[in-house]
Amino acid sequence: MIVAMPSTTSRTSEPADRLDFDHVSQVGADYSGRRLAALSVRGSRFERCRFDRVRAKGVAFSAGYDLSEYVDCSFDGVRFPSVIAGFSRFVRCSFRDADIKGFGDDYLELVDCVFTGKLRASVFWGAAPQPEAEKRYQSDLAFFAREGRPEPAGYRELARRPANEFHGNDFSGVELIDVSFRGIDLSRQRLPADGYLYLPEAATTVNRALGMTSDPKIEGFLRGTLGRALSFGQHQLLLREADYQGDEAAFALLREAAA
Amino acid sequence: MNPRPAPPPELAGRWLSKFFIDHLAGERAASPKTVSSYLDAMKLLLTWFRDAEHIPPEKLRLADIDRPRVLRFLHWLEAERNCSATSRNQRLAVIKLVEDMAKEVMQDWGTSGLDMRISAAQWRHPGYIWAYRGSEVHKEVARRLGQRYPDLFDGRMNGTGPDYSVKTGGKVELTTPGEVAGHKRKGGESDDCGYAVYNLKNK
Repeated sequence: MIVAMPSTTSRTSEPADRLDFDHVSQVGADYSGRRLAALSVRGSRFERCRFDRVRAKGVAFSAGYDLSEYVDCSFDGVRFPSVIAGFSRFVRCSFRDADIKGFGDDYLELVDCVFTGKLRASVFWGAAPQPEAEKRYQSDLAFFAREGRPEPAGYRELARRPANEFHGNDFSGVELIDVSFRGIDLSRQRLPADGYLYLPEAATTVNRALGMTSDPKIEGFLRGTLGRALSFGQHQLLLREADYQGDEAAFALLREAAA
Repeated sequence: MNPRPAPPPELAGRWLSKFFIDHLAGERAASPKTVSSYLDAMKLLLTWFRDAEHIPPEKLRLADIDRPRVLRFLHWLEAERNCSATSRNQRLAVIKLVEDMAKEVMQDWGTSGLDMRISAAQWRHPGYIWAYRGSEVHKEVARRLGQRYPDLFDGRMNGTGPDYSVKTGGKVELTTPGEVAGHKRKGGESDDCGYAVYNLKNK
């Protein structure tokens, strides 16, 4: 149930199995240990709040047209199998021993956060991918016109934001399962090492590797999978070897080319 | 003969009787149908208090009908008593919204736009790429519905896609064309909108 509330209040609607926050501002609240069907947030701000060990089947960190912000919050030990990040921003948040699936989103911002545990099936973007983001925005404008509703204040600026702030994050202790970065400066993050291949100058290394092989399978991997990843403006690549079983020869070649 | 003592005024039954007799039937001149539907709802509420909260109707007090209990009752009503024509029509209206939104996403993004949202590892599995794209449709549909219809949807996902079950009172799923075909082969009851299908088993 969504309960409309004025901004900066701290009321919540809390049926037994879900937590809803609609334009609230919370400081120092503790929701640790909750077992939820859903956690849903709209246009809210959380500072020094604890969501430790929360298990929620469905999570919307920001479901509305405005920003939801989490500052100095902890999500240690959470189990979130399905997440919509939306217009959410996390600053100095802790996700230790977390297991989160589908965290990446077009407008997600992560600054100085620390992760351990598992991040699964997520694509993180340095900027909302175009032209799809603009198409979504135009669809929203058409919807507002049909409904006779004004465009929500500040939505234009959010939807057309040129970049997502994404730096200072510590991924060194987390397992990145089926995770990709697009347009994100990986040199500004701490990354995991064991079981991963990191290519700091990916385009150069891939080109060099292409000159070192005539194997069509390896060429297909380099031009296809890696070439497409590079086409999103990603300068460094982080590849989890377990995600690419059957391409061990390509990984060996890339290591040689990067040496 | 001793007259039956009047119930204490704070008992809910007395208040409810007054509401129906004085307010609905009298002040509002509500139709017998309206009064009847309210009575049906109240009967359900009283039954739920008796069975779920172990408070018999004769002991139910107004203070017992608090916000958490009413929310639990509504949840139970949506989940367990999805049988009225009104709720069915509401569900179908919601399904139409979901269907339209799925079409909009497909039109806006197309296959290549959906493709770019999945991970590099997923690109390597062309046999499953429809499923991966499908999950991106789920996510975007949930996101847009949550934004545009906050009273109907909240943008959250369940383990397999957008969670419409609470608001629709039944199982509603958005799936991929392959799943649609499989579902139909098994004789499932479904509405097809080209890409999305909505499982209406509980209709």
